[in-house]
Order: sequence, then structure tokens, then C-alpha cells
Amino acid sequence: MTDDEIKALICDLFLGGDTEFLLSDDLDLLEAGICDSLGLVQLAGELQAHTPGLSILDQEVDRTNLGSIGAIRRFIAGKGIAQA
Amino acid sequence: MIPARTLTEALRRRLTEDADREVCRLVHADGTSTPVTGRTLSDRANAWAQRLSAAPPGIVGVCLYHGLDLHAAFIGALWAGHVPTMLAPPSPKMEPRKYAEAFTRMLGHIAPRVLVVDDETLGRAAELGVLEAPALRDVVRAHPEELVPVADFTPIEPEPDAVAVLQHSSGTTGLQKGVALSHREILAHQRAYAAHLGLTRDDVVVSWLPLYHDMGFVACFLLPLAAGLRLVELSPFDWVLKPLSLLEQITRHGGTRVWLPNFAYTFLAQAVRDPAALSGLDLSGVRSWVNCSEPVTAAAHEAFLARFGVCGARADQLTASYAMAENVFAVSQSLPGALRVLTVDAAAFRDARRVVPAAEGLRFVSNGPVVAGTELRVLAAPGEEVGELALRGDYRFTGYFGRDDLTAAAVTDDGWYRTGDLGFVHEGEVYVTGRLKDLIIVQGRNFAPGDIEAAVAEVPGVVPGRVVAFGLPDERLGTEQVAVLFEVEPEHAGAGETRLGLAIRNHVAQTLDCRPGVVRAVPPRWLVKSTSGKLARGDNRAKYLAELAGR
Repeated sequence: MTDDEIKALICDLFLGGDTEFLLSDDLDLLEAGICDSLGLVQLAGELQAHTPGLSILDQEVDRTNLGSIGAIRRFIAGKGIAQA
Repeated sequence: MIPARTLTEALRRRLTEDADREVCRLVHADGTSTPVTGRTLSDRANAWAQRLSAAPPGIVGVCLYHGLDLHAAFIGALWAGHVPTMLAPPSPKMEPRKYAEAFTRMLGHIAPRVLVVDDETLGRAAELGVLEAPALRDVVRAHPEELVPVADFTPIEPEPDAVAVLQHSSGTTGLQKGVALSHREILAHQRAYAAHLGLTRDDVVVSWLPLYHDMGFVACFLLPLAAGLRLVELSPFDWVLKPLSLLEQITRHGGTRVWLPNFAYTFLAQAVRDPAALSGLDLSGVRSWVNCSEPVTAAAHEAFLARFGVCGARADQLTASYAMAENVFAVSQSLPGALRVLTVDAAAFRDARRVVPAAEGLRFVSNGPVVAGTELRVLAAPGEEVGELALRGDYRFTGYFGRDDLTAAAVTDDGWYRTGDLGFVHEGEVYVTGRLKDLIIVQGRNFAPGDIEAAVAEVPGVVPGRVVAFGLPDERLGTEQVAVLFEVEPEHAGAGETRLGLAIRNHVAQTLDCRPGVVRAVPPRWLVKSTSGKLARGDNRAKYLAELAGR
């Protein structure tokens, strides 16, 4: 999944499809009011559905792994899944 | 149902009759649980009653997180002759000043004599600065550590028409009202609702719902206690982090009755990322899943069944209820195996407000027949079938506590409570189709648009008075999303608008614990005003959908 795809997914899921929204690499999604912990669970489900081979464990659904675009990219890379 | 004249008596009899039986099971974060017998709960409630009997009768606010004392302090306060009310404990997600403001304003309305708190609540409250609020200066604090076990406590028996509890409308500041419910009203509702659902003593309620919300408080706390059902209770905070824990507890403890807001059906389905997590789950014993507290959608039910059918979830278990604190809880409720989804002609519905069944069109999920003891009327114009829903009956609320003005505005002289909801009745079943009142319901939580607009207007760069907030359906998440449109001071126009959008999201999240979906700057004078000069939310919503949505 590319950075743009991750951004598009977040925009679609939480921002009413607003693709103009400023989503910098390190913007904290929880702090910025884009999603809450319930949203992280939804985001994990969507990421897994859109990333072949990706499996996210319950204990991995947290701010460290999914709290920003950069964190998500690093988390997916750490799972040994190359970006498209 | 346990026969009784008052809630006080009903709870005493239940805990005495079931002294050696499990009445409740408290589930911990790791999935283990502690059984609570009638005697354990009664002993603790007696100790609370003894402690609280030192204060003259009045309102007792119970402000605790999940645990035995949350139940026992509430029951003890009732037995000591007080009027207990469950208060939302501090949420770490909210900005301290706003929580303190909302909390103290609410305390100002209900003027509690005693506030029940423990170390956890006190710690959070101290972090948030709530304890310094003037409204708390004269309030006695009762703490679990002060309790002394007592051999027994003879409950003070109130009159059946006396106010038994206050139930707070769950919502932002603009919605905070204490709904006063008498003993008679609560018991009449519980009797009628238990009979309607066909509850039996072997039913087991499994719930994660917070008790400061009417669905959790009435359906998943008072109802199981008064109707003699076993309750398995999880903490709302634990459930959000591990949604499938609800289904694990249903499997483990033979859960048969589950109340959930609409979004939870979608959320549970989304939470399963590994199909292996489904192995071992058995939902076949559930008699009813009750969907309520926000608009019920067929899509949420479909997503739930598609995911959990393999675990024994079936369409004939799915039901829906139209409920509100002003009627204790349920107004109507569909029955297992009889949940109807009605498709009506869209043009006839929108243009003539008539209900014409059709093969294609708008889909509405039925909320079932009205529960006995409640009368429901549709205030539709002549020749129309859709209108505001009004109700009265045996258990319509006594009034808004300390707010006779609000009660008078909501209840007609002949006793009809105007709900502010729009709907119709078709073949004896209630369908809720929209709202006359401005209210946004996100994941079962109510937000007044005015409170969101006020928060947005606090962000520098937003033109004061040029903000509008409204709700939009979000099928994907099975709930509504908040949309905010705002006009921008000239120096923030252009590139500044995206930064402003971020600042707005951040501020609204911190002040109201609310995450808007759409946050969008609009050109000067784009927002529509009504003839009275106010921003018209409905008109701006329609204009947004026509001109901006998806672009």
C-alpha cells in the first residue's frame, strides 16, 4: 500500500472523502481529532482488507503502529510487506 | 418480574431471593470475571446505604467506572432514601476545561447532596481540575474506603409516585437534562417491556454499555435486576479495545439478550480481521439482539450476519427498538423473527410525505409494535402519513428535573410528549425516518449542533456566526457523521483553510470528544440564513449535498 493509498483510505473512512485535507506524515490521527481508539480498530480492518498478506493482531492496534501515516507505513514495512 | 410497589422494594426482594445465586458477573480487561451473588451485592449496597444515610435526602451522583461499587452505591443510595443518578466519569479524551465546564453546569442543574467517587475518579477529576469547581464546594464526597460493613439496613420506603432516579440525556451541553422517573413509571415500563420481549428467569444479559446512558442504565442494569435476569457486564473502555470480547462472553456465559447501538453491528463485523478469531464463538443461543439508540440500518444488520452467521448469528435474532429516557426506555420493539424492512416509493415519501410500499426506493427498518402502556401518535398534516412522533402513557417521564420550563415546552396540556423525531406507523409497526429537532447521533452519542458550532467558532480564523453543523448518514460505519461548514476570515483564505480545518478538528475533538467527518471552508456568504436571520441547518445541509458533497 502506498502512502497515497493510505491517505486515501483515511480520507474516505474518517474525513467524508475530503482529499484536500492536510495529512502530513507524522500527523497524530488521534491528537488531531481525526479518529479515536474505536476508529483505529476500523482502520486496522480496512488496512488489512486492502493489503494482501497483511495480518494485524489485536495487540498491534494502537497509536504506535497506526497513529499516523508514517507509523502505518513503518508498521506495514516491519511486517515484511513491500510498498507497491 | 418481581412484584413490588417501588424500585427500592423490587431491588431488595431480588437480592434477598437470589442471595446465593449469581445476579451479576463483572468481566475484567483480561477476559476473566468475578461472579457477584445477591448477598455480595446486597451487603455492599447496605454498607453504601448506611454511609449515605448520614446526608439528608437528596440527589446522589454516582461517578464511578465499571465495578461492584458502581452497582452497589446506586442501590445503596436508593435504599437510603436518596434519588441516585449515574454520572459519566471523566474521560481522558476530553480537554479538561470543557469537561469541567459541562460537569459543573450539570451539577448546577441537579444540585447533588453527595457525590460518590473513588480513587480512580478522583485521580482523573483532579487531573482535569474538576474538584475546584464552585458547584462542588458544598457537595459531600463519599468514597468506598469509608464504608463499614453493616449487618443489615432497612430501606426507606418511598411513595410509588416519588421520583426514584434521574436519568441524564447523553449528550453535549445543549442537551443535558435530568429526566426524572418515578418508582411507578420505572416498574410499569419494566413489567411491560419484559412481557413484550418474553423475558424469562433463565435469560442472561451481556453488555458493555455505560450505565450513564439510558440503554445501558435501563435495559442492561435496572431491567435485569428487577426482572431477575443474570447480567454479564464488561467495561466500555475494554470493549472498544477488544470488541470481540463481547461475543466471547456471550459464548462463555450463555448470553441470550444483547442491546447494541447500530454502529456496534458494523464495528463488530469490521473488528474481525482474522477468521480464526471466530472459531469457538457460539451465538446460536442469543434470543434477541436489540438495535437502538440511533437510526437502525439494514446494512448494519447485513454486515453483522455476513460476518457472524458462521458463529450461529441468525436474522431471526435481530430486533430493533425505538427508545428514549423520556419514556423510561422502550416506546416500541420488534420481536425476534419478525423484523421487517420496508421499502417505500421515494418520490411519494419525499414530496407527499406518504408511505407507498414499492419494489425499489427508500429502505426503513421497523422498530416494531408499541409496547403496552404507551400510546403513540403521528402528528401528520391532513392527507400525509409522516410526521412528528408523540407519546403518552403509563410510564412517560415525570418531567425534566428542576426545569419546568423545558417540561412545559415538550409536553402538551393533554399529556403528549413531542419527541422531535419524525416517522410513521405502517401495519401496526413504528418506523423512525428522521428528526425534526436538530440533533446528530454519532455511535449512540447525541450532539447538539449548536454546541459543535460554538466550539468551531472559538477557533481563530473562523468568521463568528458563520458556522453550521449537521449530520450525514455514514453507511460504511453504520452511524451518522458530523459535517461542519465554516466561513474564513480573509487573511486565512486559500492555503490557510486546510490548517484551519485541522485546528477545527483538533478543537472539536478535545472540547466535545467528537470527530467530525466533513470539515469544509465555504466562500463568503455561501451559507444560507433563514428569514429570521439564523443559519438554517437543514437548508445548508441540502445545499451541501447538492453542490459540494463528493466534489
